[in-house]
Formats: sequence, structure tokens, C-alpha cells
Amino acid sequence: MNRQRPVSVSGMGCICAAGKNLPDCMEALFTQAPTPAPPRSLPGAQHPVFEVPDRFLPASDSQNLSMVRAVRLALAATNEALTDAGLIPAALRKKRVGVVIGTNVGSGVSNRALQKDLIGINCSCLSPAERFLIVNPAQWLARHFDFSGPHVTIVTACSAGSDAIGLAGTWIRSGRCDVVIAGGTDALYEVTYYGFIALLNSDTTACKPFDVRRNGLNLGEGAAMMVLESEAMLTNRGKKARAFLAGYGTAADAYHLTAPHPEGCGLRVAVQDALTSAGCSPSDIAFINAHGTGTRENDRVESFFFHQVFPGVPFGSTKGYTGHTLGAAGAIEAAFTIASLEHQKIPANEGFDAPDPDLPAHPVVEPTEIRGTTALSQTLAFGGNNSVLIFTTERGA
Amino acid sequence: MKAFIRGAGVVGGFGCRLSSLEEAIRKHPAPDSDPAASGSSVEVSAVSAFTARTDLLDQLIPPRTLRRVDHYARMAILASHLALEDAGMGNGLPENTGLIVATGMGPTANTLDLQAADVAATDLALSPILFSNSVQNAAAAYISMLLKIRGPSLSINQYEMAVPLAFQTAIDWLEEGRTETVLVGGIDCFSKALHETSLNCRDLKNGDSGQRAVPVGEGSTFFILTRPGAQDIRYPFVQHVHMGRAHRPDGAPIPNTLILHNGNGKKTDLMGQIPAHANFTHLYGTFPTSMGMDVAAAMLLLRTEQLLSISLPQFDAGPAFHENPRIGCLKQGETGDWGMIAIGR
Repeated sequence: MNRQRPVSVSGMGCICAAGKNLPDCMEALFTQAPTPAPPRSLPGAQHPVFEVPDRFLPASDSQNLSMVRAVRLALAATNEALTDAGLIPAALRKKRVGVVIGTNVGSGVSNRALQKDLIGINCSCLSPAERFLIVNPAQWLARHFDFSGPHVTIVTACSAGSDAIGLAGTWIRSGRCDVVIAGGTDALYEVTYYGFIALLNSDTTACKPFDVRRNGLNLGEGAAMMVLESEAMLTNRGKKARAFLAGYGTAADAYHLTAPHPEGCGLRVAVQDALTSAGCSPSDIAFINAHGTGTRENDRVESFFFHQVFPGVPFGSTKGYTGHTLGAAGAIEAAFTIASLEHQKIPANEGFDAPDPDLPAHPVVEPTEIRGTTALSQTLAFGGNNSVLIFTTERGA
Repeated sequence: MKAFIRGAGVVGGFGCRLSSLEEAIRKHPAPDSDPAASGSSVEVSAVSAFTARTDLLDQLIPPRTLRRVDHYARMAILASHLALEDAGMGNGLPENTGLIVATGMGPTANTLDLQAADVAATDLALSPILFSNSVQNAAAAYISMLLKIRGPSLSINQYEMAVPLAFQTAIDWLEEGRTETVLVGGIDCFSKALHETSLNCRDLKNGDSGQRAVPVGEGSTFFILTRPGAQDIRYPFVQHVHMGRAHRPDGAPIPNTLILHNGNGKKTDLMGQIPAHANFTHLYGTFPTSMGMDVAAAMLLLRTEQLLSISLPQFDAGPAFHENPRIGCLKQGETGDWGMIAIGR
């Protein structure tokens, strides 16, 4: 792995159960977490989830029969990110603008997801291509904004949002794009909902990452998008970056379909690659946004890893505010990581009350001041995917 | 940057291994072929489909290891295995080998019944195995576990553009030093339910026969790509990958050479720009990631010129071709996007 040139992040947007935009989310992270509840969209279901209230989404979108929920969430976050970057979509049409989106549900062409979302359309009449056009968030956004650059949907499960941002960095550095809209989106979906229950990974109460009583995750939904921009374009616009994507690493465990490697084999490689590409060492990391799902194994692996590789570095999971948003998680947590660097403060690890005596490292229990300009966000995914992003607010860091 | 192809594995309606594809090309040359006359095409209601068999996998990997693996992932695992075998890397891939799996529809065929809209949510009766196999990166996970691939891993779902995007990403990874070797490929499985419903509906909407000019198919192709080096190079290299959208001023950089195209039989606006073109969809059908099959076919044609003259006698391989032998593999998708992978010797 070679050291990589940092890539500017000029705008961010986020929507999830914690808030309808990134500032609202951050306020919730530092004041009061939303409470998970049985899903309104799945009558009779009991396991609590973090649903995005309908009032968070523009009402006009609900009239558009060609938008599945994952796309609606992605569009809301993209609009916020573009506004935050000071970019007008129409002005981007002569630029090479790429779109990279991570998702799980958003990539499904199944009858069920379509029929659930697209009331009024006889989905059995849709060809595979038509289904794809409707559900694929990267394709949908590229068409909606008439962007001419490459667009791709990444489906590496829970690390998809991180991988999307990492890939977007490559597209900017290679000169393939002037701007890339990158992030993740996922909507609550009954197959994943009942699937995690079948895997015995879903908590029947609010999730408790790293806590001794942790007993699984709560699903969530949401989207976060970043505007990654070339240095030349940013300079021409007279704008400054909010932060920089400094490093990205990804590696597979090659161990188990649904469980992480017990020693964090792939995580170790992914973190090392991210550090090398950022040109920094563990001591440069001010804090870590942990994956922290609240499942027994995930949190155990991460705790031991932090103890060994990042001793003393404060860390926390934000899943207690958002639920596990699957393909969106990496992007939402990347946005939280940058915003926390800007605040110089990280939120409490919601749901953590009682330390697990078998774990060597424990998360922050209250909003915690941090010192430093560089932070790391990591995601451990289904299938043994591990992806790590490093952000910095100082270009030369 | 060019990327060298060290080996390839193919699984499709014609059989398994490059040798089967080569034999199919020899037996069924491209021009004037009856789309349903070769390969193991089967009639499935209104749809004629090239389906793939994966029995060979049980000879390569203990069946017990594969007991939870579905047909979708089996095709990908088999093609990956065959790519290693073809590259002479059967003892294992280098540490930090990367893996990129492209798909157009994911494990759709296996999950459509599971996800049927008229089944009550509480009656889904999801088994952990069924659910796990429905996750889009399940095939990549199985490949990495079985082949011990511990480098960067990515799964891409971008319908007909998934293969060029996967190749482009593989080249990016090699270029930025993320890895020295990438196993990259595509996979899609035939979904009877999906195609029947959409075709039946088209009958109603358009009054057409529901029969496509080119049968649909399924299959998987995987390639081992490396940085240019001193390795024993038996195959051509990937010269470049281009993608774009039709009707845009930047246009498609169509190389002045033979183009293998892969589509649904419709004439597309790019075809007029192409000097010489052919397709082998009569051997493997068409499916979102079937462009990988074209890349494998192009490799074989460039490796053995005799095969080129047998299979495409109408192609005039003149001095320009001999000076710079290359073939462009083009996919112009139903969504209006196009992708081109050019490979050369």
C-alpha cells in the first residue's frame, strides 16, 4: 500500500433516526438519543428499530412513484451535501461528476421490496432493467442530476458506505472525476429485519454496544453523502474543504460468512492499509468511531483490537443513536467522525452502562473532549469485509 | 496502466473452463448462428435460457464444505477456482490478493421466492442460511473463505456496467499499490420468475411474442489480473476500460478494430460507429455480466489467430490488426450506459 494524496470533502449530508440533517444528528448525539421502537412499517413486529420519521423526508418525494425509500433517503442526504458544499447540480453538468453509493436493500430487484415501496405500480410488469433503474441509488441519482461521470452501487453489506467513500477517493485522485457524490443508504426492509432475527443477532430491547449485557443489534435506516472534490475545482470555486479523506483500507477475514475473525485478522490489515495510505500512525488518531453493533462477537473483537493497536485512544459506537443502518452505516459514521473532529468532542457510547469484565477496552460513557485533527472510522461487515476510513481536518496532518 | 491477465475461469451454458469455451467457439462460429442451436440452452416457458452446471465443483471442493452454498455462489466459486487453475496458481494466491465480484442482479433467482410480495412478512420463515445467501456479497465471502483471499474485497452491483466497473477498480487497485494481484469477475444467475413475469407482461403491453432475439443466460467469469511484470504471459492484457452514456457529446472511444458486443439483440446507437463487430451470445446467452464472457472469448481469439479466422471469417485481420492486435468488448446496456474493455496482445 502506498501513501495516498488526501482528497477534499467539501460537503456532507445525513438523515437517520437521530435527525433530518447532519447538524440535527450531531445535536441529538450530544443531547438525547432517539428511542428505538417496533417498526411502524412492519405490523406485528416486536424487535425495536430506529426508523426515520416520515416528517424528515420531503413530502413531495412521496408522490414520486419511481422512488423507493432507500433512494428517497439518498436524495435527501445528497441535496444537503451539495448545498453544504455550495454546489448547484445544474452547474455541475459540464463537470465529470461520479456517484458511488453503498447499500444493501437499495440494490434489490425483488418483487417484495418494489411492491412494498411502489404502491400503484404493478411491479410484475417491470423488466429486470426497469427494476434496476428504480432501485439502484447510484443510477437513480446520476440520472436525476444528469451527472455524466461513472456511477456504481457497492454492495459489501455493512461496510458498503465506507467502501463507497474509499472508492470515490480513488476516482478523484486518478483524475477520473472532478466531483464524486459518495456515501451510503439503506431503508428498513422486512427481509433484513427477519433475517437478523433468524441469525439471533437482533436485540429485543435497545442495543447496548460494548456493554456486558449486550445481546444484539437494532436495525436502523438512513443515508449519508459526502461531496469529494478535486483540489483544482475547489480552488477555482474559492472554497475550502471541511475535511480530507486521508486514508482508506479494506481487507477480508476469509473466515466465516456471518462472524468476524476472532483475532480481527482482516481488520488489522484494513487498519494498517488505511494508516499507511494516510501516512500516519496509531498515535496520530484522536478517536475512533467503532463499528460497535452490540453483538457479542463484533464488540469483543473490536475491544481487543483497540486495546492492542490503539491503547488509550478514546472510542465509541454511535449505533445507539441510529441503529445499524447496514449499507449506510459506514457513511453515516464517517460523517459523524468528521463532524466530531470539527466539534473536538465525541458523543457518549449510548447504551453502555456496565463494562464487560472480559473486554480489555471500554468506550466513552459521556460526551468527551478530544485533541487532535485525525480520526478513524471502521466497519466490520457480513462476509468478513473490514473497511476503514481516516479523516483529517488539517491538510498537512 | 495495463493489467496482465494471468488466468481465467469460465462457467456458462457451454460448460466449464476456457477449453470448453474455445471448443464452443470452434464448433459454432459467430456468423449466421442460430441463437438456440448451441450450448445447453433449455426452454423455460417463454424464455430460452443458457443455464450453467456446477457439478465439477464437487470434484474440486469437498461437497460438505459447500452444503450451504447456493447455485449463484457455486458458479462464482467454480469460475474463481478455474481461474487459479488456469493461472497455475492452484497452490494459492499471493498474500493480499484483492477480490472484486461484479453482479447485475445479485442472488435474485434464489431470493425471489423468498421475497414474493404476496407472502405475509411473518410467514417468511427465513432460515439463517437462506437469509445469508441472499446478501449481495455472499459470493465474495465464500470465495474469500475457500480460496483464502485476505486482501481488499469489493462487491459491485451495477447491472450491465458491473463488469467494466469491476475491471476499472481492479486496475485502480493495482495502480495505487493496494494489491499486486486481483481476482476479478462477474456473476449472474437466471431467474425464471423474473423473466417470465416481465416477458408475460410485455406480451400484454406490446402484443409481441415475448421471445427475445438472443436467449438469456447465466454464468460466471473470473480473471486474475496483475501489474505488468516478468511473469509468464500467455494471455493478452487489459489495455483500457471506458464507460459512458449514450447521447452525450463525449461519445464512445471505439477503437478501430474488432468489437465483440453483447446485448439483447437490439440495434444500438453505438453500433453504427463500429467498423467490425461480432458476438458470441449464441454460446452463453446474454445477462447483465455476460460481458465477462466476451472478455474471455477475446482472450482466446487473440491468443490463437486460427481461432479468429475460423470463428469470424468475415473479419479482415489486415496489417493494422497484426501491428496492434486488440479486441474491444462492448456492452451497451438497456439503461443507455455503455462500457468497453479493450484487450490487446
